[in-house]
Amino acid sequence: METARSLSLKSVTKSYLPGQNAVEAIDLDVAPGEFISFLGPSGSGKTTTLMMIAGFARPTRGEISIAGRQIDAVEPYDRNIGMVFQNYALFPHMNAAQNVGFPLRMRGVAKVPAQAKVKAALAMVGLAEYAGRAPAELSGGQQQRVALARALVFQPDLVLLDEPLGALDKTLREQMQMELKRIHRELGVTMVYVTHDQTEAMAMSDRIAVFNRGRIEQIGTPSEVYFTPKTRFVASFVGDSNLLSGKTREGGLVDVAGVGPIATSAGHVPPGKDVSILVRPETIRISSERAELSPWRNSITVEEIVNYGDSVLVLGRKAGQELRVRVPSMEMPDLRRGDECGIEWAPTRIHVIEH
Amino acid sequence: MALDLTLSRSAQGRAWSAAGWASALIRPPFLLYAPASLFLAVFFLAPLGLVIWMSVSEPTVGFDNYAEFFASKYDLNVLARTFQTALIVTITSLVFAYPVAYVAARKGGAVGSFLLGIVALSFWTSFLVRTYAWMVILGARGPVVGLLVALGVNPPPRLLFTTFAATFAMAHMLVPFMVLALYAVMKRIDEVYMRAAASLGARPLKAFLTVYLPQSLPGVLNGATLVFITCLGFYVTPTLIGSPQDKMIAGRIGQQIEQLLEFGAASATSMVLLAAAVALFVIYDRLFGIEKMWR
Repeated sequence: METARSLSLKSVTKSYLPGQNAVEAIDLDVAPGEFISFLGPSGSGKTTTLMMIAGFARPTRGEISIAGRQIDAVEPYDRNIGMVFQNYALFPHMNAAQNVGFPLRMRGVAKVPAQAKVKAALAMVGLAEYAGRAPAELSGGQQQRVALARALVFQPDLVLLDEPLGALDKTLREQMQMELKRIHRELGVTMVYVTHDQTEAMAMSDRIAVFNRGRIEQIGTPSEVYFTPKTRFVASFVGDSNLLSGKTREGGLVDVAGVGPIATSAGHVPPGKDVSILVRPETIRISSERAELSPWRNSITVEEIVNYGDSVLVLGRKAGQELRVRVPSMEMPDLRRGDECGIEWAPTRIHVIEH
Repeated sequence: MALDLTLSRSAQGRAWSAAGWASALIRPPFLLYAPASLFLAVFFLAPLGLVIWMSVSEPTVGFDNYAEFFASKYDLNVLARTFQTALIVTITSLVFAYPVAYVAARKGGAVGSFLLGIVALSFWTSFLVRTYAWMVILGARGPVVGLLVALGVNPPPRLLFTTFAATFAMAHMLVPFMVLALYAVMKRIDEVYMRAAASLGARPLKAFLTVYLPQSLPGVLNGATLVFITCLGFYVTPTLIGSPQDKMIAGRIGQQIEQLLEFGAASATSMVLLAAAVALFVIYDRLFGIEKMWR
């Protein structure tokens, strides 16, 4: 396979209206062969950024380069970037093989080698038998695979994927996630993946860039973003969370109104500061007996129990503070609504977000 | 269609009987289309039947009128010229309409509305009014001739009462039909296809030719059929500003009725025109399967 390319964005800004930036000062370095996700709610600027990389939108300021070569003046059709669109965008008047062969045709690849490449690309996505089918005769998942094959067949420097699995149902989506991972591993091509689905971003990415209001709030590996978010937004957008406001004391203790001092991992934060603490619901252990109050133990009153099959979500309350606890089904003690129960956490798992 | 449904349902329910028939006929679907059916029967089918009858009974019973039509070099010439003119008009209006519809469909917004507004305005102006407008524009003292004279073309060519004038004016009059037929299809072509084409390495012209144009073909077909069939029966414009020597078939029918008083021959000519239009319509209907293939 070809050598993968790096991608770099330097203070890229896009404003459609003067004074209002849709995307503001994005700095990003993507390593060759990396799988990076742009994660964020709609309107957070992730798609705009992707469109600027693809060349369909021009940055108002800033620079975009691929493998060190600045591409801002390069037209989309000369960028050699493969793109998979949200609704596949397969050409309805061409069959699967013609769709996949299209980028080769545009590049003037001779017929025989082009046919071989199309065949290989369709085989890679498991659709060797479907070459002659029109898009309308393919299922959503199959169309998505054809779109993927079409974006990969010409050995692009970079592959952009714009919420490619959004239209598929859950089972198919998970299956396609695995496929995409496999293809990424096999080809080693640099991929940028836009999604608003945090589990998808977690499952697939080497790194995640979390977008909010036109800025990147954090770039990091899935576990960095999940366990040590830099902002309250990242903490609440990625995964389920308990976000409590409090004030630091000595020794990593944080005073939370009504709950008491909580032991955290933040020994380095000077006392007297307002902070947020993040407690992931699945890092809390639960027991049916009331616990003795301490910085790593507390009690809650159970308000609601939601059974997901594999796990149980317990919604509890402690003095006006709502707490979510997620317990593997097998470890769920016998609890009912209104019961008081003990909770316990490991201070190292409790992350402090400085304001 | 609705009648078929009612009948099959009543046939399932009880025995096939006169009572079943009667009840099927007075059910709401029939009542809904009864007024239109009645109107068409009285004011379209009956006169049409009369024309068919005249074509085989005036002045003598038999197919003499048809035989004469197909034996007459003059009439066959008229028929051929009509088809040729319709083809030229269709192509001309397509050439004018395609860019307009393309810009209106892809730009949308103010530009699109403006273009469609102009098209609609000319669509709503009667053929007769527009024909008279062309008489003024192309007339011996009109602005076009004036301009040619000013440019030193002396003596200026005659524009009015020529086949060129009629063809050009008909194309102008049918452009709105073509634009609307094209626009309806183009509006449904998602912008994302052109983006996809660009991302795959297609330059704009290539993307248009390989991705946009093929998807707009159903509109081209639709518009072309509409314009062609309308043009076949065009009477006002070729009669008023066309060359009297180069008659089209509708003008020929008018001549047979008004000047020659050959009602039988005129009826036969009308039937030939009708048959041609129906044949084209059948072909159009077949070809429109193409659209289903893509969607």
